[in-house]
Amino acid sequence: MNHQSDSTTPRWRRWLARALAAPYADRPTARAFIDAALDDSARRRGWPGVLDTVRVCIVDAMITRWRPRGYRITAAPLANSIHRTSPTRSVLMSHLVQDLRFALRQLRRQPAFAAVAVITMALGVGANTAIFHVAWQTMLKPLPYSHSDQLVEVWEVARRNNSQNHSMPGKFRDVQRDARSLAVVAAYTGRSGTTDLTGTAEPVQLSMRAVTGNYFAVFGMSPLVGRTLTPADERAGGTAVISEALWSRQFGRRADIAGVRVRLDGRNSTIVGVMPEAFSVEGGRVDVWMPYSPPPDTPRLAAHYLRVVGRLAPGVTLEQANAEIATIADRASAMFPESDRQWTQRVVSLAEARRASSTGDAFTMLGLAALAVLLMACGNLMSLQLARGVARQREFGIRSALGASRRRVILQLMTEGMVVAIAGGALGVLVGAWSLRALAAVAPPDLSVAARQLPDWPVIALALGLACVSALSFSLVPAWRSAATAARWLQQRTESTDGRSARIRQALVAAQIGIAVLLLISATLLVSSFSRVLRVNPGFKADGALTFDASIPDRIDSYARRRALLDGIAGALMEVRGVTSVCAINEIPLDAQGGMTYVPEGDTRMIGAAPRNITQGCIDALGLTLTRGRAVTDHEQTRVGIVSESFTKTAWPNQNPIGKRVHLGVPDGALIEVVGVVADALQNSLEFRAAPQFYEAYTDGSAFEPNRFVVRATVPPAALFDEVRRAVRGVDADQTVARLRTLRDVIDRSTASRQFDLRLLGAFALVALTLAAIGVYGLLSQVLAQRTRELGVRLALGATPRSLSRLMMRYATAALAIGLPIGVGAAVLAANLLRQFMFRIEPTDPTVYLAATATLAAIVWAAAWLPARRAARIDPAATLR
Amino acid sequence: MASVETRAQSLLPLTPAVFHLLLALAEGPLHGYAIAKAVADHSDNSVRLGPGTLYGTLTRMADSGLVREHSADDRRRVYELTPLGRAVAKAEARRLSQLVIVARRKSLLSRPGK
Repeated sequence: MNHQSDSTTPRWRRWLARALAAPYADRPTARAFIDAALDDSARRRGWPGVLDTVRVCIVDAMITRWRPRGYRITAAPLANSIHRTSPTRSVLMSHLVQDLRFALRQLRRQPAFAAVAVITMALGVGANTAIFHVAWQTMLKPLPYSHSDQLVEVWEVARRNNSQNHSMPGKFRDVQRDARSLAVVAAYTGRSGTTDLTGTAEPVQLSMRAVTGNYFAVFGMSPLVGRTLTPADERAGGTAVISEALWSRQFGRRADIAGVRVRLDGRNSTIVGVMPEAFSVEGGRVDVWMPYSPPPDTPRLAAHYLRVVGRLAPGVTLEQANAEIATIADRASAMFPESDRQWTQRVVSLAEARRASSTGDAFTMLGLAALAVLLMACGNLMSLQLARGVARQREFGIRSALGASRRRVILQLMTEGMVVAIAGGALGVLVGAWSLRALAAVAPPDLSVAARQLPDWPVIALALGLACVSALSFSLVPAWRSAATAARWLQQRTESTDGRSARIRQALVAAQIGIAVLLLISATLLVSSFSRVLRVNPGFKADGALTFDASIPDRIDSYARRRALLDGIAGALMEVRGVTSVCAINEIPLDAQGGMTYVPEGDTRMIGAAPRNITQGCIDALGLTLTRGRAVTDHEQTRVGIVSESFTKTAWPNQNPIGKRVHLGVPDGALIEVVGVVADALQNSLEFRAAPQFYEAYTDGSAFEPNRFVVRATVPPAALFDEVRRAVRGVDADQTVARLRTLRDVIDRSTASRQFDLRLLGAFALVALTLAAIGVYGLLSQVLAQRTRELGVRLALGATPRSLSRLMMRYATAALAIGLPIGVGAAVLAANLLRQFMFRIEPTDPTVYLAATATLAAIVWAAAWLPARRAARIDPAATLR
Repeated sequence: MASVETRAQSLLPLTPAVFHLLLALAEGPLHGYAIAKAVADHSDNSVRLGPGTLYGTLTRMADSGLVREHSADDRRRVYELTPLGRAVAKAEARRLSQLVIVARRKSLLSRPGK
């Protein structure tokens, strides 16, 4: 049997063994022992065995290696005249119960200490719970499907710059027909559409997903009631699957739901099944799944709007699937160069895609910040324990005189720490969950769903685990000091200041100042970066306008009838007081997805642009700036459009674009004449340059239905919501008004993810500041308590009260002098890591550093000032008596 | 120089840890963790030795001539009993068994098998 750790030993175990062996003088020997012990206990008893070994090693290290100086037992004997029996398990248990009782009594006797300690722990653990909870919900939680490692997404990838895009219908059809490496391939529409469930009293807005017939087959999850959709539904239509939430909300969980006929989107549909709550693939709420049949593979439609999911065939790897999909894409590029040449395809594992979402980096940053907060909390608790240890010298001295072993003293103090940590940890889980709920309002939709969930068991386990590790870390040193000073008390019978404790506490405060300034600088950098994002000119006028979605029912099936309905709604809205302009458009800026390709006449280049179909009045309603030509009207004789400046720069550099013509989608697509040019409006985010835009006047044959309205008024738009609803209902009682909000809200939504991160980090920085202040205050209060007599003597000998408070302030200044440079240095390093979250700000912006440092220094001095003032008011007569 | 028996007697009574280690090594040379495991097995897991306690005790026992290093490969150190160690173990066992007999006579312990 070989106990050397070799390459087959798991990395965590090698790491653990190294950590456990670190305290010993003869590390290689200890390491060999610990390797063997871990290996053996893991093999025989699994996790409990490993934990037991860890416990034995820690206790062993504490009693043999970290024997406090001045407390050495006279050469431990081989022979012993008194037979000390080794404690059996039951004795250990009774010790534990005794220690627990004693710890609880101690805490009850000092409620102020207990409260500060528990709240401090709760803040530290709460920060970590919040982050881990969100990360768990959005990225780490296993997918609830069988063999979820086989689930994949298929994306289009631009050959030019490797950027991902949604799929064209043709490409989806190619993969569905030809790919052997995928057992099932399904598609759904990229944005969750909306539909209304009429027939009941009031039209209800629902979040809908149009899916191909085999969509549910990909995930293989059984419905709660009835059946899922099948390829037959895709051909026939008129069926729907609803979510468990909708079933509860709208149908009172009636058992005979399958077969119920409802009017969905103006058409009769039959509900065939209910999917359980667990069925949600990528955040976001879905109420209704309706069958959808994407266009055929030819003619190629150059619109990228389908999201494609699939399941790998058994035994096929991701690499093999990718190789096959790339071949299929190459073949399509050769066959349809106009539409497909620029695009290849890629298969991504669904779990991987979820983890690699852009929020992952933000979580890493916030997770590190949360750990820093926990470190500070531990620092404060350690400092508190050290202070109490000095105050309890007498108690421990007597206890050891009565025969308490060093091990008992240490274990008792560790038990006290553990009680604080577990109470604080439990409170921390609540604090974390509660603060996330408070933040859910500003969170982007997928995070908002996650933030409202209750913490799962792994999250709670991690929180309590962190609390226990913290307890170990913050009570070890104080316990060791207490054992040491207890021995000294026995020898000298006087209470003495423990110089080493004081120095440790000072170092702790300096370290806390360092961490606090690090967090403060990071948070300030991101806040100023965010304020710069908010000052970006979006290219449209956000204030004074509102928008809503009016999904036009499918039953209104001709262009003429749709046009009439749009005109009717627009006319009614113009009657609302204060309204100056109204228009309909297919997508709102900053809430837009998808792209379309355009080919300038006589050119082969394909220009990617955001496709917009608009009615008259959009330039005014959105507040776009017309720089050339004219706006479009509702009475155009031919197909005309307006392009954005970046479009003309790409298509016709240095030429007058007015009068030029563009093919829609493919080189032989419909021709549209350019009649005007507008300044670019940001489409996806305030932080990225605008993609070119093409605004085509809505006409028969337009690619997209303009069913979002924008209304500009001279009165505050939020005051018009009710009147707008009434006006639309007046045109058609069945017409829904969904997502009614101001354009300002649209901007706020688009920055939600940044705001969410920022508020969390801001909260962490605030907690850090508080902890630093408490740390400084606690240190100085104790210094004052211990030196009152000395200060009294100084006063009596002629020192001025001012000089005494200066003396006290010097402690704070010394801690600042050490902590600040370290913190600022760390912040410079951290800022470089934060660079990707920054917008138009340098990671070394000096004003930020100065402001953060000054704030922290001010708070530290303020915290020090209270004890310092008390020092100045010492009455020498009272202290010397 | 006194005889081995006399020297063994002078070291009694032993601390439980030392006696446990002597018992563990009575069957033959063992390396560190194997000793700790044997002790845990003998004592029904109530005596758990960590590396510090174990090697500390072994070092003191080696200083007194009870054990010696048998061999050492690159990291593991294997220990064995010296004749003195074996004598001490025997003497302690005898002493304890005499005490057990006394305890039985005083009806503090039931006889084996009863």
